[in-house]
This record gives sequence, C-alpha cells and structure tokens, in this order.
Amino acid sequence: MKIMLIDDSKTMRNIQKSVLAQLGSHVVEEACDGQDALSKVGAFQPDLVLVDWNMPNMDGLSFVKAFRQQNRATPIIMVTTESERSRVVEAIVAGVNNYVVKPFTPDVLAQRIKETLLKTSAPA
Amino acid sequence: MSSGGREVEMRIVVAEDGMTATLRLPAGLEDAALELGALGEALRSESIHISAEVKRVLTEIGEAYRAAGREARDVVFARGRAPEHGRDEAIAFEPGLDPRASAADHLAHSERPAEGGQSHSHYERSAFALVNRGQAIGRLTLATLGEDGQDVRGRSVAARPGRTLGLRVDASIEQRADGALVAAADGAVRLASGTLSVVSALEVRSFVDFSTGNIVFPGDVTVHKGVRDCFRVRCSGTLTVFGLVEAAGIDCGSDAWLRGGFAGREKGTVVVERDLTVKYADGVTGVVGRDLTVEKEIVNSQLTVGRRLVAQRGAVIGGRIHAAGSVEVDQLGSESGGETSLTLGTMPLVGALRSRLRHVRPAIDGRRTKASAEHDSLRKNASKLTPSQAERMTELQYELSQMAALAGKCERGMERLAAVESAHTRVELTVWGRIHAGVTLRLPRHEVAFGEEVRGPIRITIGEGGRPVATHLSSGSVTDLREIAKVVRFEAERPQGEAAA
Repeated sequence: MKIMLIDDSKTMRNIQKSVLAQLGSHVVEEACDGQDALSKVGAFQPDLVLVDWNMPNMDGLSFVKAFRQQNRATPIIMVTTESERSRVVEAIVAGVNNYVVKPFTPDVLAQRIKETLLKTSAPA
Repeated sequence: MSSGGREVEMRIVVAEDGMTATLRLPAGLEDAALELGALGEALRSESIHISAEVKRVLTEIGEAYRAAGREARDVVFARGRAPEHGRDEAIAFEPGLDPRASAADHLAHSERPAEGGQSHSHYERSAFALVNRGQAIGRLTLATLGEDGQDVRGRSVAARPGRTLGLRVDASIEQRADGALVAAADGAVRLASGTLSVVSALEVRSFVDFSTGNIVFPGDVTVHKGVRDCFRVRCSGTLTVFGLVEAAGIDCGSDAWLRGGFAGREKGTVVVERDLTVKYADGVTGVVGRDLTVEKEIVNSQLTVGRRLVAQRGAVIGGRIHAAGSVEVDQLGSESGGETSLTLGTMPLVGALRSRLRHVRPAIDGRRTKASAEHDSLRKNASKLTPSQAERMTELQYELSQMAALAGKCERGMERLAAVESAHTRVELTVWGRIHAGVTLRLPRHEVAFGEEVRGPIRITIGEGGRPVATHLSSGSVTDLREIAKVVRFEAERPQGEAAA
C-alpha cells in the first residue's frame, strides 16, 4: 500500500513511519507541506494520506481541498493539534475521512489508520 | 564422325565430382550437330538432367560458336549445386568460466587491483571457474544438418551434418531456448566425462598458494595438500585439508577436518561453525561452533569451543581455551610450568551478548525516566497545551512506547540467553594423564590455580553446594578441589574474560 505523509516535522513523519512499519509493509512518500505534497501525489498515487494542518507554504486544509478536486476516493487522515470541534467539522467538510488530535500515542494512530482503511475499503 | 583425321564430333565431359558438365566442340561443326535435338541425345547418354536453364545455355553456346567462326572450344554448360555442410556444435564460455582453461588462465583473468593501488592482489586471484546462481556461464550453439546439393546428372549430393560436442548439461545448469547456459546453483563450473555442470564441491589438488589464490567457495572444499602462509580458505560447506595449514585463515560454514595440523605461528585463524577435527593446533586463534577434537596437542592457541573439547590422547599446552561443554584431555599444561588457561562452563559469545544487554538496560531506563518526567509535566496542563507542546508530547509518548518495547526485548533476550547458556554449558574436565603446575581453571564462580602437578585420571566438576570437586577416576574418591589446588570463589559470576583479582 502506498501512503503519503505530509508534515513539516521530520520527527513526526518518522513516528508515523514507525507506526506504519508495525502495521505491515508499505511504500511511503513524504512531503514537508501541502505544496510539496501536491507536486508529488500525481506521480505517487497514494492509497492513504496522513496530513498535518499547520504547515508553511500550503496548510493541510488547503491541500485537502485541492486534492479532493482531483481525487475523491483516496482516504485522508488529518493529524493535527487543532482539536476544536469547529475545526474538525471544517476538515471533514473539506474531505477528510478521519481525524487524530496531537498528542497521540502510537496505538491511537495505528487504530485510526486501520479504522479508516477498513471503512474506505468496505463495499458501498 | 571424322574429317581428315580431325575430330569432328562434339563431346560432353562430366567432371569426376559430377558438379560440372563441359561441351567440347571441335572446329567446323555443322549446324545440324548444334541443334538441341542432336545435343539432347548426347546429354541423355551422359544422364545429364536437361533443365530449361541447360537448354538456354546450349542455345547460347551454339550461337556463340557460329558467331566465332566455328572454332574449337570447351564450354561449361551445366553446374551442379554444392551441398551446404552442417555447422558444428560449439560452446562459447563467458570470460574466466571456461572449465577447460588452465589454472594460469583463470588466475590471469581474476586479477583485480589491490586496495588503493594499481598493482594486483595475487592472494585474491582464483584458479577456478566459480559462479553464483543465475550467472551466465556461456552459450551453446547446436549443430545443424546442412543442405544436400545436386550434381549435373540431378543426383543428390549429401551434405555433411555438423559434428556435435557430445556434451551433456546437467540440472545444475539451466539451458535456455536461445542456447544461453545459466548457473542454477552456486559452485564451480566443471566439464568432466562430457558433462558440463556446476558442482558444489571444489577439489584443490595442489597447495592453496599463489597457484590458486585464496579459496572462497559456496560449498565443500577438499585441499589435497596444504594451505600456505597468509592464504585464506573460506567455504560454506565441509572443509578437508590433507596437508599442513600454515599461518593462514580458515573459515568454514560446516565441519572441518585439518588432517595435517595447523601451524598458525600466532597468526593462524580459524572459524568453524560446526565441528573441527585437527591433528594439532599451534598458535591458532579462533572459534569452533560445536566440538573440537584434537589428535595430538593444542599449543599456545586462543580457542573458543561451543561444545566439547576432546583431546583424549593429546595435550593443551599454553594459551587460553574456552569451552562451553566438557573437556577431556590427556595432559593439561606442561612440565615447564608455562601458563595454560582453561575456562569452562560459560559461553563467551552468549556471555558477551548478555554483558552488552546488561549495559544497554540502564541506558534504556535512564531515557525512560527522563522522557517520563517531561511527559508527566506536560500532562498536568494537557487541556492547555500549545501546538508545539502537543507535538512534543506526541514525541515523548512515542519514545516511551519505544523504550518500553526495547526494555521488554532486553528482558526476553537476557532470559533466552540464560536459557541457552544453561542448556549448553557443562563444567566437566577429565584429565587422563596430568595437570601440570601453571594451569589455571576458570569456572563460572571459581578460579582454580594449580601450583603443583596433579596426576590423573581425574575429573573436575561442580559438586553439591556449588563447590568444585575432583573425582579420582581410579579409586572413585571425591575430594574438594581446595585440597589439590588454590581455589578462589566469587560471589557473582564474573564478566567474560575478566581474570580474578
């Protein structure tokens, strides 16, 4: 499975990679902001996207909106410190499938990834 | 017909091989004689096949003859078709892989530059055609039958079929449709009795020296002579050396028999994953995974033995020997009283791993404590965390989970190593002849120094209460080892290789 990790913190991306490694073998592409991610999604064609909200150049929400214009199927998990209900709703309206609030434990992230994949792979 | 003694009849002459027919025309022939009807009769008498082409050529010859004033001439008017003989079967080997090539050719081909220089390392050359699975060995071009020809009389002239090499290719080589030969196994390319194969056994009929280069082979190796100074023999299978191994390196992935002995002169090294049987070992350093059997003696060697050391009629003189299992020797030490050290009942490699784990654990605990303290202080304000604090807390939670996993692995590793050591170690030294003064025995919690000679047969073990005892095998009597040697007891197991104070 091809998974794209979008976060301006390399440490955070490494944590996410480590969690993914425990879930099985994946091909991972990393991006440091929304703009970087948009330049890579076309070639990479991810099966799942994990995206931070607050990033330089292009934030996660703008990325989600732009990405959803070309791809409505690939599941997106927003991994962010933005915990207010209104923000969560905003993200979901923009096209996010699931939401993880920082701080999170590796177990919580793993659980959300599994949940999201299960939901999106289930026949409609 | 003749006119005034001159030949006036035309003749047809067929070459001996039947491949050409010549029309011999005398001077002054009448037109009637040149007509196809008259010629046809002559051709039929020679059984020449009259094809349209022959007819055309004869007509042209007649016209040319008349045009040239009817002068005598010989003209070839028919030619047969020569046979195309078949192509012989041929094999072309990749460079350096022709098993028919001489050792010198292989050596020359395998020359490669030594580190940092333009010169070649003569040790790293190889006199053998060695391949890895999947490597192209060469290409086989099959023989063809050829195409038959035809003589002027229309008879078939047989083509000679190409000769075959009479070569068989066994299952160790994949023969592809395009003729490519690809190794289906690791080993040496061999052509013997008409069979081309990749064999997993290498025979070195000479010494391992500059005529062979180092031997690195993925299978069994037999060296009929010896291994010279500074050369290396490395194989994944069984190794047999009939001659003397000098100050060389032996690295064997299975069992090794060094029948001529090993005169390492403090430079020889040996690593044998399973059992090593050696005539004698002098000045050798190394590791034997399982049993070490010595016919004569081990002198001034530093050897670690994973299981038993058996030198029933031999001696261990000088050096340091470490055996996890039982040891049986005739003589331990020498009359000269030189230092001989024998460590029993521990596994140095396992011990080293345990020691490393013991050192790792406090570092893990230290990191856990530090991360935990920072995490706890952040958690107190969990509802008011800034984004950077939230990220930091995620990092700390990750670090704590990692540390917990590592600590668990460490714990399980220590338990597993302890179980391995307990299952594979044994303190049992049997000496049939003598233990000489100068011998030091290192046991898990004791160090035993022999200041005077002790006569065998004697067996040293750990008795009840964990004390080392000596059983005199001739009488069956058991004595505390303190009665015959100086014994120092340690409360805790000493780290590997650490001598008593």
